Amino acid sequence: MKEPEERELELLIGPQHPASGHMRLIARIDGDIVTELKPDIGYVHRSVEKIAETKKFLQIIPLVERPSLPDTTANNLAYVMALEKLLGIEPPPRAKYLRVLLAEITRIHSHLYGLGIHGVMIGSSTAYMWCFGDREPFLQLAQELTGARLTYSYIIPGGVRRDMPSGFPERVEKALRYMEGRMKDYFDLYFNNPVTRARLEGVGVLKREDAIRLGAVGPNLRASGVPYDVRKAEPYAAYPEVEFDVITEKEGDSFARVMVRVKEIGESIKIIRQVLKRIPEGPILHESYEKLIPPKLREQYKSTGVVKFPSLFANLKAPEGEAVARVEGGRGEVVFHIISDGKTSPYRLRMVTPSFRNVILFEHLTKGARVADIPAIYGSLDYFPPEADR
Amino acid sequence: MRMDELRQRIEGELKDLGAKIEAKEPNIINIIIQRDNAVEAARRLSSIGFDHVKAVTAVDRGKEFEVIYIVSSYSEDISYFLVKLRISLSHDDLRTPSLVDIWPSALYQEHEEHEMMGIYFEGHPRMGKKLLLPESYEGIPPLRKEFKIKTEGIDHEGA
Repeated sequence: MKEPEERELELLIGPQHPASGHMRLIARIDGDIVTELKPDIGYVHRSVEKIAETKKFLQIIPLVERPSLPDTTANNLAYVMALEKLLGIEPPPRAKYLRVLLAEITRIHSHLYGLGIHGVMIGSSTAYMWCFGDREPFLQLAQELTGARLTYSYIIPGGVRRDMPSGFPERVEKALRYMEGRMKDYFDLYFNNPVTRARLEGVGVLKREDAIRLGAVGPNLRASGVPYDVRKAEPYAAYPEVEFDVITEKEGDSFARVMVRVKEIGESIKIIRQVLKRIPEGPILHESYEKLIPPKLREQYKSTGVVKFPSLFANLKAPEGEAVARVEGGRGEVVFHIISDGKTSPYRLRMVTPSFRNVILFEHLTKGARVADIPAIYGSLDYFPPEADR
Repeated sequence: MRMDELRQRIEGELKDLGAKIEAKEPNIINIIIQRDNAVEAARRLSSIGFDHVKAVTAVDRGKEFEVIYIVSSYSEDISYFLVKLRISLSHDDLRTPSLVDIWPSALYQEHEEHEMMGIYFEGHPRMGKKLLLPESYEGIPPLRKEFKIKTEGIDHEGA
């Protein structure tokens, strides 16, 4: 019998939704073993950086939110923080607490989204249904606070758009207690399930030094034992005033990445409780911007807690200069770098998202893995193609 | 580590490379470096503990282009600080050495700035290949200022 000329096969996975969103994985396989895998990205590239140069500063808020749909607060906040540095403005204390409140509500539902998608990728449709079901109370809380389920555009230069509605803390507490109660079920059915463990433990191990070298971010980095969290490294908003732990795991495998997300939900619950306890009274928009609101609308803002944009906001000019801001989103660090030439649009806007930082891990973690482990590794990275492509 | 200590340390390390160092913000150090010394500067920054690249921003300023590496560390003692390593390039000669050998975390970002701005990172393994743009795309790198996007609707200025 003649020897086959080549032992390796090329396997194309995607780009029609291999799992979560559009991307293609080009794998070379030898039998059941992956010898090389390259992510082919860009299918959902939407030129955010280019479009930003033609939009006014305020219009860019919804623009930068859209690519990271399950985790919009991080982009909203990081962008506005960079803009505020250029403007030289600080939000009032109450607005800082409200920013943290929404950021942590988002972290919880973003983690549940990631865990759910990962669940269905390794064949547990129950985990998927549960996570997506339990995301709902948090989406509803966010909607009550901001008016939208996902695309909040809640954080604006100098503050936030709306104050908490009455009775909101009680409804938040109800959702938090519900989530805490649910955690036991998750462990019984899913995390401690021998099938889940067998699919994830020891699979896709990211060593500590590789996580650092490759610049991994978020839970993927912390699961390899690196305690880096922007909320601690360069604390922003009200984070200096709340206590929480940076969750790390040692193993660096797919299971460790899942565990970091699960435990971070617990930390977010801790943070939200502190925020609701300590949130100071006061305005939610910087006074110099509040003054720009016409008197009638200002009265309305005072009585309802809902900011009507002063029309001058539309032509907001950022002084000439450069600003960098970073934020710890659900999936990891978001970095915005704005270069302004003093006009109503940025001269250059650089947006680096956690998924774009993590995409390199696909190449690294799949080498030598089994073909069936590709989805287990993919899902454990909580990778979101539109977020990477921007 | 304190800002002034770190600044002194960096100044000492990069003195002989002709680097211009300034710090206006509490946690950001700007380093302007000639492209011929960029690899050596990166190596020395990496030995101080700056272990990863957070962002690579290329800027089109007409006759001049600039590549800015925003570098930081995962070590707790200096993770608060950001270093901006800035390299100026002339529009006629947009080549600069790739820093992926020192910082593999720059692999995808250098690639993106290559296709979007037309900067050639010498030594980068994927130059000339597409990352985010379609394979069939030809023409001006789209993030250059000379590339105009057509707008519609209320922003539209005549046909």
